Amino acid sequence: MRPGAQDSRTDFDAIVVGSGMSGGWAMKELTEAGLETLVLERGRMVEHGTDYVTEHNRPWEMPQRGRIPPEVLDRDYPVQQRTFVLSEYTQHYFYRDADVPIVEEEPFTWVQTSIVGGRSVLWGRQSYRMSAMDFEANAADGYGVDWPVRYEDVAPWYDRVERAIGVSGSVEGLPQLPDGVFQAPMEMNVAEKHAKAAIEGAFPGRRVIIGRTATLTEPLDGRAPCHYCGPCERGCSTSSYYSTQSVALPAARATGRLTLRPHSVVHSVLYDPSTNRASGVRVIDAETLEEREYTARVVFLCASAMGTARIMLHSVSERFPDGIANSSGMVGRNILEHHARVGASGRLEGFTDRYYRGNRPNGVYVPRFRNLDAASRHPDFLRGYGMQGGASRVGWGRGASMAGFGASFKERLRTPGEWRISLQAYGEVLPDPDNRCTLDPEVRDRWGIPALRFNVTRGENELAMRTDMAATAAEMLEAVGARDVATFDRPEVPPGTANHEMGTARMGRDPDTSVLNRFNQCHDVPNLFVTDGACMTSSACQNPSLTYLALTARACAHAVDLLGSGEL
Amino acid sequence: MIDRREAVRRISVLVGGALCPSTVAGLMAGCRAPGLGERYEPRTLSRTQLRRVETVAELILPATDTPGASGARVHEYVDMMLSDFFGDAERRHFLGELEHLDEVATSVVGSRFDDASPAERTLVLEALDDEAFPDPAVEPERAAAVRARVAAGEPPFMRTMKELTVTGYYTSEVGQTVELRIPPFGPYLADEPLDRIGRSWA
Repeated sequence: MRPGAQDSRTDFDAIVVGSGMSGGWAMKELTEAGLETLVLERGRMVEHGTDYVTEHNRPWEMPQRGRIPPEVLDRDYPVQQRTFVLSEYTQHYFYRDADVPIVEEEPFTWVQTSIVGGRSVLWGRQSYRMSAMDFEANAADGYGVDWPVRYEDVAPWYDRVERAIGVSGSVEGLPQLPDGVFQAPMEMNVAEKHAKAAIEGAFPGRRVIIGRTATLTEPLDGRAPCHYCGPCERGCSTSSYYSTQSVALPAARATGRLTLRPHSVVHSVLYDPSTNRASGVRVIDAETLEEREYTARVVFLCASAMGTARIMLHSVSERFPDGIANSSGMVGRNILEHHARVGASGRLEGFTDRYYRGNRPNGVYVPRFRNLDAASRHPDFLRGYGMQGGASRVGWGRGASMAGFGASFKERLRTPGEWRISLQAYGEVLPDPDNRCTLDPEVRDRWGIPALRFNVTRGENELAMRTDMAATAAEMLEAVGARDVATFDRPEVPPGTANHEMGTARMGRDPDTSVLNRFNQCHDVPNLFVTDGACMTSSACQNPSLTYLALTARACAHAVDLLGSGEL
Repeated sequence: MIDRREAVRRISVLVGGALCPSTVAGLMAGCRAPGLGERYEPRTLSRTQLRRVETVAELILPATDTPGASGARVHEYVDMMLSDFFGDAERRHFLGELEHLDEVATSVVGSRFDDASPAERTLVLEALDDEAFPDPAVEPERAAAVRARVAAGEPPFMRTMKELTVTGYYTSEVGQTVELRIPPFGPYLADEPLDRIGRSWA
């Protein structure tokens, strides 16, 4: 936020709602393109470096050794506790659920952060392109509506984003997982290399590659390569992974055209019927509850798939009684995510004289191998899944369940235990308009805005896919020579828990069945853009953030063009 | 715990030397351990119970060429866990088992636990460890019975005590920096001979 006279400014070229994954990118693109840009974030400021207060803490430096007591989790974080990144180290980045309630008509997880940077600070950093096949998936099998873009439309924007954020990975030449602009890949450990050779030998068509991650292995624009300390989600003062704070915010600030307002809860988008434009937004100050209005020529909603849907549904007018730009009725529908918590693990014998140094914030990846072509078609389900996993040596934790005690017991724990290897699948879900969120008539958040009510369930396709996910994970580990291979499948873990929720304002060709056009503009309101996960027409099975960034970059360039040509 | 100068040095190497003061301040915020008073005031355990927990923890992870559980103040960690992480029933069960040590000691070595010699205490703990960790390959029925007790929320004493001791010790400064090692900041080395590294990473 800029001090002084600027603080009272209320009119801008562009407003961006949200400062996380997509909002961060929009602020960078729009300010660099010359637009005076206001970024509104409901959470508090977290300054790069200085506010990562637990960054390199060790467990004994935390009052409760890094854990949050079960009683506190159940009282304050009944929903948020479902994400593994919530801990005593990261607690200060999350809202208490009571402040940002949701209503789970069916169980659903919506992870909500309370900070500038949002989930770009806490994300898993896995960065994969969607493929030509993914952009054609809905058209091919008829579920959902067709994407209004194809891979070649997005490819240059993937290039642009990867160059700027830094993605490390290996070039593989796989049509289902296009290569990108990569820094040097991280290395597999000895057990993972063994697993790669064994799996690729036993199952032609299946590949094991190192994860592609937005974590630097080489310096980039003054950012240091990763130092392998491990817990990225606490924030990284060396800027070694992409976050709003490490890349987008400094770039936007450097232009002199950024006004960033934390503690700004967007109540609704303002609509001007005389021009059929979004004229701005209404904001509630998170601390004083004072209401303000800001105006701009374009408005970008980047408040997360669910946050954006909520704002749109809450922005009612005579023209849009069911929410702004919702003449299709599709806002809040077609919720997509990735279904996970299914896979297998086992122990590996051998390699006892080999070890590694450093906490590599990355694992191995098995790109999708089902339903790529006629030969790989599976009879029981459509679409497919990828797998993430890795191998490591068991540490001191094994002592808790080991017989014995005394000096020899301690001596055994001084050296690492056996190798363990695991694979976990992430699967695509089919678009279904009945998977939806609506505004709850009663429950409100601490600022008085109606809570979202979720009604999302998984269908037969997902359940059939899960059976195959567990089976193929196990058969691959068996091929590696793992012992005591055990599968796991937790279908009861609520949708949304993988933190990849999307689809609530999908892109499409037809204004009757979709909310956004091929440039992420609302069909109904051309100066209103949505570039977060809400825009996704299908989920693919890849971690989605890289695609949000690419689509955001593309939409920003289009908005700038339209402003320049006078069309907006 | 790494000291301030060492932390600044490590970070400065990483980012090429130049750090603004506020960045250093932020990095340093993590380097202050919560103060451990000379005399710890237990919150759940009585002083007698605290001493007993300290004795048992030290038997599980004794001082060798590095400090043991007592030196890592594992007993204080156990008191914190009992206070903040255990449910009422779980806590009652653990405290009951802790008192029950006297009965076990009487039957094994003929005296109360606190009156037993160090060698006798080891015998008592061996009996309790055997009760808690039967080898499923050798005694499948006993192993199943232990699993059932764990599932019912009434685990054998050594199950809980060992888990607390191991976790408390290896998350302590002593456990992580004197007994084990924290990986130094720097490049990831994917395939190193264990001999060259020597110890398990903390």
